[in-house]
Amino acid sequence: MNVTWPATPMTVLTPVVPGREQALRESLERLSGLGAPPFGRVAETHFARWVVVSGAPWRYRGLPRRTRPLRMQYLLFTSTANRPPEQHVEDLRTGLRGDADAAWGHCVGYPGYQQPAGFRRYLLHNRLPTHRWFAAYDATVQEVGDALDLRRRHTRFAVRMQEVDDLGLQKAFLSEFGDAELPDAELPDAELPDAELPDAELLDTELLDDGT
Amino acid sequence: MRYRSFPTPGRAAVTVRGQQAPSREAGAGTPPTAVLRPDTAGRAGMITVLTALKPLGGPWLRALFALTRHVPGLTGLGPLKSVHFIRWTVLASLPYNGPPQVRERLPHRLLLWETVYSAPTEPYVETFVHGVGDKVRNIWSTSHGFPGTRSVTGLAGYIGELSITGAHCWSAHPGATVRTTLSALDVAKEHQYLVRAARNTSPTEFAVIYRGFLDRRQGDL
Repeated sequence: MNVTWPATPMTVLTPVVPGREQALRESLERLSGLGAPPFGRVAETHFARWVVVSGAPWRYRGLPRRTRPLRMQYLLFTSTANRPPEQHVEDLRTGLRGDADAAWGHCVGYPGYQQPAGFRRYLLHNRLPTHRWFAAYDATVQEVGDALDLRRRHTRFAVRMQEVDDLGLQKAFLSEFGDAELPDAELPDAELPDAELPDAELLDTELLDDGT
Repeated sequence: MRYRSFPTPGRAAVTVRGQQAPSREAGAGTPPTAVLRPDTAGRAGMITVLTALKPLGGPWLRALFALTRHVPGLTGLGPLKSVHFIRWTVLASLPYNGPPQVRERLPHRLLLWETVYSAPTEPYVETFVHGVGDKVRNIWSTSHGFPGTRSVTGLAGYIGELSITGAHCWSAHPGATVRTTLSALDVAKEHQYLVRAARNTSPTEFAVIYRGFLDRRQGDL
């Protein structure tokens, strides 16, 4: 698989302008109701999420006893994309466009998506490091989509081929899958790979913390 | 006896959650009964939790995370096959953007944990307890209030009470579970060999190769 970039987490925490917390919640609600999901336009994004953090969400049954709530509310953005963080930020800007403003526009210091440098600086400044990261797979969104589609086709094909003889099987296989492009790197003829995938990789994202 | 329900990802559309977080002021002796309501995007469940770290929790976790980066097997999450992605962040301070943001000092270091998973929620938590309980303990025993991993109900209650519900969630492949994704990637890996074999072998040879593929991959189809 041609993995362009490992699946990489991005976490951004931005303070909500005092008094605009409710407006932010309503904006996020509107975004969820859109027919075309905003993140569907952001390249190579597996998952994305906005969460509003307020109060003392870490307090569990009175513990810790001595604590104090946050003085402001914060918008927590998390995503996983096969992109370097800087590129992912640009993808967010060009993909979300006005929808980015609908969310981050309620946050302190947000410059708007129409200012590319300011947008990039803002999100990278408010990015939190990921100290530990686990990904079950490294395939890109496109590769996952293609693989899921291929799996469905193989399943249907296997059911159809249950009563077919050898000659018919090969003909049907070539008819169904024969137009597939093979990778440039030549593979040994008819040599099948091990059945097991390598262990899920654990990616070190400590290096993503650039101290901004 | 009170029972909790565990909503299963995939049985609800992507929704906006406006519920109030459950009270965190209940007495310490009360059995945990918080409903664990993951955010869902198709068949993916998403949970975000912030916990307060004990005084030495931050340094311990940094050392642990550094160790598991060098010895990934210690994390022990690979075989779970129900987790898409997990992230952990130790948070010591908050980014500052100037007024009107108020500069605030966190009362404790915080641990941010976010998981995207695909199993139904209850088995997912059970897997954490029975499958990788010691690994979970290593990380979360650094947090105030962590009930341990002896009880699924206790851990689910902990996660349920601390989880921060999302306002907007997105998944690129809402119909796919971790298992179907991994299976599909396995099938795709072998597919090119099958195509090559179909082009370059006799019908009999190809039939043997294809049936071998089915034997190996029947669980993935």
